[in-house]
Amino acid sequence: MNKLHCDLGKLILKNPVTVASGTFGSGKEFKDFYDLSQLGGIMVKGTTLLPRRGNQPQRLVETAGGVINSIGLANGGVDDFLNNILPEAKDYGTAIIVNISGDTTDDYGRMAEKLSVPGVAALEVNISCPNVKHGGIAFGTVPDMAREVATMVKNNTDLPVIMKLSPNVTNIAEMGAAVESGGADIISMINTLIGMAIDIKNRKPIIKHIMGGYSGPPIKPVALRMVYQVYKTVKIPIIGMGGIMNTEDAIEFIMAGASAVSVGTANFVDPYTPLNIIQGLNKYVEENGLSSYKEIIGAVHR
Amino acid sequence: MIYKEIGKVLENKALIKDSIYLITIDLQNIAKEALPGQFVEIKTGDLPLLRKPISIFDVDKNNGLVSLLYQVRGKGTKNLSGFKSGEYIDIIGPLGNGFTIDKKEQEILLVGGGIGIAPLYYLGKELKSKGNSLKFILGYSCKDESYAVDFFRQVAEVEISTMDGSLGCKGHVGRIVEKLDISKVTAIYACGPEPMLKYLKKFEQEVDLELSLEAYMGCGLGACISCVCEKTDGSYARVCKDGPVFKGKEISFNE
Ligand SMILES: Cc1cc2nc3c(=O)[nH]c(=O)nc-3n(C[C@H](O)[C@H](O)[C@H](O)COP(=O)(O)OP(=O)(O)OC[C@H]3O[C@@H](n4cnc5c(N)ncnc54)[C@H](O)[C@@H]3O)c2cc1C
Ligand SMILES: Cc1cc2nc3c(=O)[nH]c(=O)nc-3n(C[C@H](O)[C@H](O)[C@H](O)COP(=O)(O)O)c2cc1C
Ligand code: FES
Repeated sequence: MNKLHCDLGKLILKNPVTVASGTFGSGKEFKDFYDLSQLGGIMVKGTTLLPRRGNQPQRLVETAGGVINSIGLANGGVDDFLNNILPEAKDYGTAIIVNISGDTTDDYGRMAEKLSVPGVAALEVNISCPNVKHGGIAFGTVPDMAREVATMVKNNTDLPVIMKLSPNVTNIAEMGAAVESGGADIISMINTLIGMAIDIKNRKPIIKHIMGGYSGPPIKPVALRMVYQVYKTVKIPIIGMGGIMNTEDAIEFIMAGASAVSVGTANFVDPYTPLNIIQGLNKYVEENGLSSYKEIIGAVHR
Repeated sequence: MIYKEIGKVLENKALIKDSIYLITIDLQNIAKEALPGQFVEIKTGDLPLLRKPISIFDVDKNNGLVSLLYQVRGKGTKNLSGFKSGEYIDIIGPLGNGFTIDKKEQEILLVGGGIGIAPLYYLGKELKSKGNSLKFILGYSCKDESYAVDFFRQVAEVEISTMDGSLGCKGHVGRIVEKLDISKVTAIYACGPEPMLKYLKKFEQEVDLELSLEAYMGCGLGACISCVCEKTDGSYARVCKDGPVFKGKEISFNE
């Protein structure tokens, strides 16, 4: 019996350890290190309806023990994904979860429709991007907009829909409730925190785009707190992420209420991090005499 | 194939105290496959969090050794300079594409500015073994901050320029290149500061120009798309995976 068997409603994973969108490409770039079929799932790099060149460099910088990135969703577009990336990725032997971003609510619907093909296990909906029809306010910061996107995606696919919450809000529980009421099957959280770093010699922001998304170990306490709050509010399962570097971090997220976790920035530091966590969870389950890791989901709430 | 190896440091010696170091590490797998112009990503300590990209300076395939020539700039390279013989270090590589080395009996200039000279040594050795005729042109800021020249002299003729004229020709490496009879040169391979690479672009029609670029890196594996440079056609290429070596004509240096 696989004690790490993970079911997130309709989405079944062989274990609860996935890799976070934007930090693992489509998996291809990590194939030399290990057999990707060991992973619970791969959240593929953010995909948009049309190809995007992305932001001007410098796009990334390390600061205060974490990383700021402003890639600007550089990608070849959804057709390129379907024609050139998915045919290879679908044979990796792990759940391929496609991360989608749109400029408008309609974009999300069209992408959901196009991506509802064999080989795609679920859609992860990035709502941390600006809604161009609403003055560029991020979808994920207004409950009604987030709910609308969830409903739009749900109406255009039969795949499990994972809504990925942005932490750049005052009330995260309200956002969780909004996407749940919109029809989301699963919540993933958190996306990056908006941050900045300055080159004091040149008196200029280091990131060309001025601001970027902050990730890595420093955001872990914030992410953990948010998972804790959303778990209290929603009934749907949560995939927790934000600064997970090792097994202990992953267990903290599970105890706060996550049914699965995602490893992001840590892949840059040590590509074996997800495997180490799978091994660590197996060991933890054995040592604590658990019949399944599920016994500790939300443990701190009891 | 890309490997993550924990290699034993055999030697880590200062060529210029607190500034320029040469480290030699036992890295059996990486040494086996490393090509000139490729680089490695080094975990230098708990912090900085990210690995640091450093070019491959030399490879001893028989003994499985990789050498790196590096300059202490900030925390990561400072950490690297602290490794002692016998200690172990966590390295991923070999990464990137490397220079074109299937050339025979050609006249090739290898131009390096500052720490950008690092990838040219192994490159020079490989090109020489194929019967090419080489010349190194190395640029430094001043005599006191010149290093590793003797390594290059063992491979081929070396010409030096310094910004203050304290060694060799005064000015940047272009001062030397412009005095040469370029009509005989078939290829120029270069690594160094952007102004130097930009200058060399003027030879892109006459010779096979290959430039090794730098960019701030996240993953070093081609996954995060952070390390991009702009190509002539307006698209972006990943320095870590599509590079670090690009044809001169491919790169625009607009951004
Ligand atoms: C392909 C490639 C090959 C390189 N080869 C060599 C080499 O052979 N020898 C050598 O001395 N240096 C080399 N460098 C430069 C070296 O990577 C930086 O000097 C080093 O990362 C500085 O880190 P730090 O923590 O010491 O300093 P920091 O204070 O962090 O930075 C100093 C400078 O290095 C740059 N830098 C910092 N982190 C990175 C990163 N992750 N990726 C790229 N640039 C960064 C910063 O923009 C800054 O300008 C190479 C860089 C690249 C991209
Ligand atoms: C370089 C980089 C690119 C990212 N790209 C995306 C993306 O395209 N879509 C998305 O939803 N999240 C993206 N993220 C956010 C991560 O998926 C993750 O939510 C965040 O980094 C927090 O996890 P971590 O601290 O473990 O990295 C990106 C993060 C990084 C560092
Ligand atoms: S550093 Fe990640 S793609 Fe180049």
